Amino acid sequence: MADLSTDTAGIQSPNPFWIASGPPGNSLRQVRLAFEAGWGGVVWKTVGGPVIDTAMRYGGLDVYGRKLVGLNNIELISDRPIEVNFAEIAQAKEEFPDRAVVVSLMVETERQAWHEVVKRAEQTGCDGFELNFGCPHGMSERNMGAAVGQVPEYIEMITGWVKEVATIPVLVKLTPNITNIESGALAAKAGGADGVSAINTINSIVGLDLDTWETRPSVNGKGSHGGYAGPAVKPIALHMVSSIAHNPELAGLPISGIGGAHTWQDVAEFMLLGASTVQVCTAIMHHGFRLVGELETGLSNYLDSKGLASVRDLVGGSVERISSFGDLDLNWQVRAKVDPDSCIGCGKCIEVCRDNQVDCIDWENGTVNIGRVAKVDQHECIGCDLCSIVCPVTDCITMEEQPRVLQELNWNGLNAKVGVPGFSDETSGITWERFPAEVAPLVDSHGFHNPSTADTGEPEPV
Amino acid sequence: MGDLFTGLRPAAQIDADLAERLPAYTRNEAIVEASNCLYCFDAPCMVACPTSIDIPGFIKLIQTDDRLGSAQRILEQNILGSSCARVCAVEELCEQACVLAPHEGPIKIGRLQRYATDEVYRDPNGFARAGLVSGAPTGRSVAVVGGGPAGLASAAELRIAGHDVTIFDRQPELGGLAMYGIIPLREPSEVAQWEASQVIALGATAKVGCEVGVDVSGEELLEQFDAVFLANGAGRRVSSISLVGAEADGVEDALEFIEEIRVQRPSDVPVGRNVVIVGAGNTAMDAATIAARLGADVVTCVYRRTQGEMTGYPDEYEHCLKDGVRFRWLTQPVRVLTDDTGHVSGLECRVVVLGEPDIDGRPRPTVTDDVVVIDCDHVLLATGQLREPGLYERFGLDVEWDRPKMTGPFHTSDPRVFAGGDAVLSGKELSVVDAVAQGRDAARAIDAYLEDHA
Repeated sequence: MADLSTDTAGIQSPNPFWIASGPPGNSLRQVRLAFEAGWGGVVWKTVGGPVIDTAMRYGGLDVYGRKLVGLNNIELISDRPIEVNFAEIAQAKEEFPDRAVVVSLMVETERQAWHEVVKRAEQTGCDGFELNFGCPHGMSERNMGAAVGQVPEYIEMITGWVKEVATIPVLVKLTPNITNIESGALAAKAGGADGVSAINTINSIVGLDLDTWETRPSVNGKGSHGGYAGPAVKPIALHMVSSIAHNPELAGLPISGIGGAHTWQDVAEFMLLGASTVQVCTAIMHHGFRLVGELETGLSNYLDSKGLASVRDLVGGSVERISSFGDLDLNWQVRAKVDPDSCIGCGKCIEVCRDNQVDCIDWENGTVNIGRVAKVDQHECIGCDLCSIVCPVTDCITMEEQPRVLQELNWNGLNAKVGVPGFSDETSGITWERFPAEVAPLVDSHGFHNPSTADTGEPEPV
Repeated sequence: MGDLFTGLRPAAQIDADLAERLPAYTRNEAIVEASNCLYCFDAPCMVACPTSIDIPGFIKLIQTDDRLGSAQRILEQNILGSSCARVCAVEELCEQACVLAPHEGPIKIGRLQRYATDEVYRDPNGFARAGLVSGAPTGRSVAVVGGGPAGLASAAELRIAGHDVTIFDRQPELGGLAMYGIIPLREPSEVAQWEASQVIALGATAKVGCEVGVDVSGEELLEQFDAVFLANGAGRRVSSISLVGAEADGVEDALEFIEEIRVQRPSDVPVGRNVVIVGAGNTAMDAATIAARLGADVVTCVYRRTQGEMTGYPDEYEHCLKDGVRFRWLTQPVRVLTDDTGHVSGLECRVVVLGEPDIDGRPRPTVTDDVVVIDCDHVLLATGQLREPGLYERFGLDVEWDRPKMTGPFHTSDPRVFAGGDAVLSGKELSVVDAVAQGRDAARAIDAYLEDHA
């Protein structure tokens, strides 16, 4: 069985599963339950000044009858007195010395205030700090949280203040509500952060009550934007984590990944894109602490199946796979293939190809009602993958690699061959007029619409 | 029938056991089930539906919480959508065609349709709310003979087209077999009553208790109306099975037995302690279920062929087995035995062997000399309906065997007279949903005829 122990910025943890700063980590009672269930670490719910929460703090996004695909919240930082939290943090660390206990901090933007809270918090025996520069609601309106995180200079300044006194690792939690999250990570690094946590929640309005036209949640008729989390945000989080991991100026900066992780596969993805620990909150708000058992079993079996001795072997393993569009081979071709034995005849592929792409799928056996099977016209298929994505049967439609016809060529390479000097890389001077003679011979014709033909739906002349 | 019994079981228990078998979906159950629908392209379920209901569309509307819109989608194709949701053989139609049927099992289309149509069910303005309203008056009039599913569907469609409609039915209430021939486990009579009420709300006139050919003549209808639609069903009495002594006390038509259940409190319907049902079709299964639940000690279906040839649906057969109903295959009743009061005391049967297939492809039963006597005090005959071609003769129509000779879809030999529903259907098409499709489409044919003969 693989070794699941890991660390982020020197904060040791028996497994990569941490509880993200939020409702599950607001008291010793909860953290005991979490650690007994097997969580490797907790980022204690952000401690700071007094707050008062509203009733109706959450809004769920259900999709196709699935509950909580996304979760919006307007809950604030810990609503418990700071000294109570510190006492309980110390107790938690004493009871579970092998677990990572990280304290999330947020105070007003004053050097003295940060110095005091850091010194006081260190007395708990905690393993590290996470600076909450990401909370997008409520606290940001009090010039904390995302109000800091959206200004890289503030991130650098406050991180610097914390590092002046902290003797344990400091992570900076980044907000996604910014044009480029790398600027936040660069500022954290410049301020001396030992690592970053990404991402915090995303500004959102989860929905409306169509009877009353009030927001969900509605607090006595009014609402405000909240922070969006849950499975729906995972792709955004993965991109942001990967962009930090991929930035050469940030090379080696430890990352604790956050954003919709729910399954062991999600955890593996965050780690492959550069995270060394993964924080979970919404999944616990949906399923409770015991979910960690399935995370642990699943990830462990996955590592064994890959022949990996340690979970650390995953970290960053896919970062080099992230490239830019200009580097992608335009002449690598696949075609969709339907397995007639597993096709159930729903026709989803036929309709979406007809309505969105090239209309290259039809019934193989006419218009029979029962027992019908879809078939792809291999000459027309452009290999886009939409059909296999909508197919309800696992592995019914596969994308089959085609024998290479034209040599590997990407947009950058094409540009080098036929681009017009003087044009920028983006425009290249590759115009539709020049396509047929100069471009078309070099690239596979499935990758572009032939400008000499019109797609009118009329039958082609014989 | 002094030798039959009531009170074999407590009335409240009988009421409970004859209540609608399946509970209605809650909103959440319906949305979860609807969410499993793949929303197939060119959906097979829709092709399998005789009334071509846009099933993926109505399910998508359930999933997105527009229950009224869902009911509209159903009722615009099938005004008896509430009945069909309950009585359709979905496992042989839409749900059999569902692409998920051979895998994780079909979407529960019937129950979802019930959820959707329950939005308007019982509402006095239900059809209007679902967008079914009468058209601008045309001044033309149509007589509909028979107020069953085909007649009601035609009447609604004709009213939507703006024609005056009068429905004639010999029964005291409209609904035909949906009202009188379906056991309450499958559909409470209130559903059929509400549907009929909505056709009346559309402006159709009902002449109930009025049998065409008896209380009013064919000639009168042809004089008073611009067109006539014959939707008089597949007849009434059981077809002859050469059963000697069938006039004995305690021998009755299974459909009449079911009708008694519909028109009075079931616990007031007398039943034997030892009941034999002759036949193994769906009417036989229904009658057997009722007899068992009324408290008969032994209920036996006798059928001259085997389970493989029975016309009853497998699900209904399974329900019967759970009720303790016994089946005797390859058994042909030949004579009713009676006691000294003239009441049935047993059924003399002959053992049957199966031979070569007959014209329907089913093995031809050959009666042997081996005799079996089944003791019983109640015999219910469910061996099919006997058509009544006399009605067609009274309209002066050409008749083929026992049905009107059809000269085109819904057209009889008289251009003013149309026919559809069970009157012209046979086999598995003898169903509520096929009758609705017939009535609706016949109305369109009648509308076209009236248009051409202004």
